[in-house]
Amino acid sequence: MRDAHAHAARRKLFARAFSNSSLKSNWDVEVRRKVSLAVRRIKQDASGAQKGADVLKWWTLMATDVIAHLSFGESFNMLELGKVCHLPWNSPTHINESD
Amino acid sequence: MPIKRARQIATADDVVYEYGAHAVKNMRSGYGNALNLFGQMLAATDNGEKVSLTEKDVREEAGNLIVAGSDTTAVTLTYLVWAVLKQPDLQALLEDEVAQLSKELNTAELEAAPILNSVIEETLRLYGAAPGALPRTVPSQGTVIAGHQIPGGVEISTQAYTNHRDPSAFPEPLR
Repeated sequence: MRDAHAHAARRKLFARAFSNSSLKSNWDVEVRRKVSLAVRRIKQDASGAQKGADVLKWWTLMATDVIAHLSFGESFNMLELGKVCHLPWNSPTHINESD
Repeated sequence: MPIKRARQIATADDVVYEYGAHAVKNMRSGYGNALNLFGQMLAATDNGEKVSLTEKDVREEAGNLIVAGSDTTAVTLTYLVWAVLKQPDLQALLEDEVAQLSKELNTAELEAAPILNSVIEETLRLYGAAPGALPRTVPSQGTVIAGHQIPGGVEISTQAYTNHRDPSAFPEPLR
């Protein structure tokens, strides 16, 4: 988008939804829920029989679930699944990361 | 499998665009947990304000947000954990500070916690996930930057990686 007027209008539209107050009132609970789950999983892995916790993996699942919920209105639920999935929401063509 | 992987990459854009249907549906009718940012954007517009957000726009913006909001956050958080763990003194300070906060960790006290916020700021300075360039076009009359005459129309840019390590702004920039 290179047109200055169109950009300004789009930016104004986005600014409200991304304001601190809007994010806090609309998303605080849902984001905290996902963060808590990610931290719980990291703690489990770190204190379990495994060699340690893959924090990049859990932060990736967490961040993707958060932004998916904000953008699409539905989480990908990858934190619950514990791995990356390519076609969420139980679509018929659902593929799990196999390698 | 390389072939399967190649197919996934080739169709990734289509797949995200397909998901966009969910974004459009939930923008119009989402409630409770199925609300999304686009519905909130429309709800926040003033009466009579002209809003143009087509179905295609929403699909594309939802795809943009997925790209911009997933790996960047995950990579930065991972660097934060690494940077703290490799400095046990800092780790102890941070743990002490957070231990003083309430059990609920409310937003106001988190925003006021000096060590926590410094750790976040410094992680973003040194390990921000997109320390890229910010290209701008020189106005037609040209300009002088750091003694160099730059003609109009030339694209110039500053880049965060170098700026964030400039010792005149950050003494001991790599610490």
